[in-house]
Amino acid sequence: MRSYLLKRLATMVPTLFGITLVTFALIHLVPGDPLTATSDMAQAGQLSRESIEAFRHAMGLDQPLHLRYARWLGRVLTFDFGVSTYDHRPVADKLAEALPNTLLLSSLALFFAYLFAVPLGVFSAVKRGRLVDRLLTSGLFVLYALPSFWVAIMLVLFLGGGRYLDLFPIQGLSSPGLEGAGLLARLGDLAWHLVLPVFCLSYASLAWLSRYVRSGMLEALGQDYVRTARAKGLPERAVIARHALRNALIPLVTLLGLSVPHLIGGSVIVEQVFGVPGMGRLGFQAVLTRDYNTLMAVTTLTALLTMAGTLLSDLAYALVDPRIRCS
Amino acid sequence: MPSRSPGAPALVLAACLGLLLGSCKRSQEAPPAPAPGRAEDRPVPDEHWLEGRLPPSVLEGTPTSGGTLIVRLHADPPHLSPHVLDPGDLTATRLTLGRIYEPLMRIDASDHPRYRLVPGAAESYEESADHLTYTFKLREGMRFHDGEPVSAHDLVATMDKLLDPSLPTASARSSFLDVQSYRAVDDLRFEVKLKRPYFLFFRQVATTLPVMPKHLLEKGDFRTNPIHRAPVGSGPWRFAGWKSLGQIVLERNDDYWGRPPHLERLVFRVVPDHTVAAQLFERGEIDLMTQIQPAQWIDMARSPRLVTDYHRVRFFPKNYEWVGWNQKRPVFADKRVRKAMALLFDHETFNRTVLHDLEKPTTCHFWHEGPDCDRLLRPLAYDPKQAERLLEEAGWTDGDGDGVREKDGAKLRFTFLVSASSVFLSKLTLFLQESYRKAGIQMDIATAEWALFSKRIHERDFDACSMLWGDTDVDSDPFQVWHSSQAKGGSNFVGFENPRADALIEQARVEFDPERRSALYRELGRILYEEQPYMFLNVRPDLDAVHRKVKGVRPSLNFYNFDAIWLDEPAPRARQE
Repeated sequence: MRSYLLKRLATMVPTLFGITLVTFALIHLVPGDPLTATSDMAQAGQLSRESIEAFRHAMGLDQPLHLRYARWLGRVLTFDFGVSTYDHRPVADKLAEALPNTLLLSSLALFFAYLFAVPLGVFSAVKRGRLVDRLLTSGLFVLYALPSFWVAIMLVLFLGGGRYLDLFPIQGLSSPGLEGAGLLARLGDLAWHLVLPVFCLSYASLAWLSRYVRSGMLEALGQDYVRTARAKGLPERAVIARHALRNALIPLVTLLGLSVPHLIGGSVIVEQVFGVPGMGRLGFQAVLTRDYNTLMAVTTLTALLTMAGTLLSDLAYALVDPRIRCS
Repeated sequence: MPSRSPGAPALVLAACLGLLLGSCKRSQEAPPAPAPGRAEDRPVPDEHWLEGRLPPSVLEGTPTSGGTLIVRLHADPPHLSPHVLDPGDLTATRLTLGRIYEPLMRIDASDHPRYRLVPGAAESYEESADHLTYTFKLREGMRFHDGEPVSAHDLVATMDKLLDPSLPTASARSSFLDVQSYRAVDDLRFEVKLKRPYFLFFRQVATTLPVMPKHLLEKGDFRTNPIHRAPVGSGPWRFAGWKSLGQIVLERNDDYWGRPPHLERLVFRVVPDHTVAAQLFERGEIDLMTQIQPAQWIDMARSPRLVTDYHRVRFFPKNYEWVGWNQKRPVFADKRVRKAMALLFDHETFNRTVLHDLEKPTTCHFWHEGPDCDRLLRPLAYDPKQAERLLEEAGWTDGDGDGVREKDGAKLRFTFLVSASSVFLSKLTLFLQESYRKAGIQMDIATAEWALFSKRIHERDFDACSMLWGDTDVDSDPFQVWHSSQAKGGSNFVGFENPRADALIEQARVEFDPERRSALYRELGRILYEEQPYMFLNVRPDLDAVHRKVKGVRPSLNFYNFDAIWLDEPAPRARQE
């Protein structure tokens, strides 16, 4: 187990190196640079050649690519992500601001998706082929097909006040003017603000997760050990919960590991609509403004967490399934 | 400023306004299907509301002190330094210049459309007879928001940073390229010397150079200096807080040398999504709603509350949309072809059906309400017959009957390059494509996101493109856009080269008499009209709405006159505890 862990950790180093190298090369291959991407046309037209050169020099953009990569790598090894070329803030500050918001939103979304997906999938599998299963299947399929930008806008229009129901706040994560209120009031306010964005982030994964649970359950229910359990006279409830479900959950562990990058990747659309400053917007804006330092920080962090997620789910396998050994 | 002869141009202007407003009513008064039985309850919008003009009553009454005004912003600015730090950001400038940072002279927001200057941080100035030396005399006793006194040394420090080529201040530096030297004559007098006289320099230095505090500016690394996110100036508003993607708060500076603002606090609320912003606006959470989308603007008439509680504001700032034909491409080298392109575009129908007649057609590069525009130049009328004659004259005929004209074996075909994020352009290009197809011209559409679009335009790697030129001051120099020297590297993207135009532009740069300069610019305008390097489109309005309790409010070229605004009912609102 220990040697397995060490081996896995050791392979992560070259993988991470490869990912950053390729990303670094790719984002510098994209046409445009921070200056043309951020100045408007009139300004850009007025910039003299010397000004442009000076800017490129100040940003270190006049160096050859491999030197820039080497310098970037050297800095990152000391956890220095540099300064944003867009707003001149330390990238670490920008990450520290965006990451908690995104983590909060997406971990809640993931939690609720699993919370509802497992019982729905089990129910659906047990009632396989009946009307209720078919209704549930089509309902979830429709849910899965709805694009989140549309759902988000519809929720805002119909539940966010104005001409229809005024049930939920629709902007940001806190109400203006509540800064001085008590902790409980602020937590309640936060929860209230989270309802719509968390729903938008979770409904689609709820749909496909519950499908996984359903098919896993169906497979498990057809196994010999389930027949044995039934044959020895166990109540149906115990057969499903103890014998079938535990086996059906194994694939979910993989999925959980794979959801880690989504956890910190954030969602551009949901963040944009609900005005949440998170990782999705940060990365998206960095692409548009050719903010190389921020972009590299976001991709490196995502790559790192993806690898950590896969490793964790592999380890978790060994825990939930005694047949799997890590070696 | 010159006084125009009050004859023909004024009449033409009036006629044009009448036409615009008339057609505007047509499209907007079409009442939205009312709910049965409720039609009588619906408040009827008055003339002012429909046209988006503020009624005179907004300016009446006695100002009261206090209260908070909540203004919607579309995006967080990258920083809060006016012009000083790249990227030069319009929002940052609008929020800080003249508000947190005091310029030497202020552009008088209530002086529409002339926008003359009034004293700001400088109580007076001297200009040498050769227009090479400007000396500004600062007011005595001014203090920064942190209590430190303001002196001419602060201006020198600000200038030092702007002109330092190793700093990311490129966008600001371009305004001060002609500066020979500058110094503090004494604590209150700031002197700038120029290499050569330039008519625009005075307005540039007087209105765009912010007075930034030397003692903070010179602390540490300029790029990451906290002053860019928590500005400290000497203007009528002091910075009170900025939560990323939330709000920027300014508070009244009671130590201001002049009359402090009536309002206690200005809150700029950042709401990136237009639909969500409209929703917050309908909930009553925004007092001054900005950047209303055309569809929402028209839809506002359906909401009784928006009609009774708000004024709509349709203000035409200094800008114009244009379509540029790259003259370095053989297809557009001939001015007859360029003119035909304009004649084939049914501008009026496009404005009515696609833009709901919200925009104002223009043919002028300059401030459309100023004396630099020749108002006799009307937009070219839709005339496909004449266009076809011109194309045939230029040698473009459809000999092989495939529906596309050709000349010397080459097809009349071009690609329209569009920056991907523009809704306006996606509509315009489809409209043009169809118009040109009928006349035997094949137009392809290529989209690119902004950074790539910008790169291709700068490398002149396009056939046709469309953009909007905008500016926040009435005076500007057409040199960057129209002088032949700017065809390589400058903003003369379309490669317009005309010796007479060059001469006019150069002459105007050193012409200090505004009336004579306007005459030169009007002649330049006539050349542009004749040569059609651009197809001039419209002035695009700012579509805003302001709550009826907000008084003294005026739109201007540089956002609103927040200093003069007061609230009619400063009773605190429930949500502001």
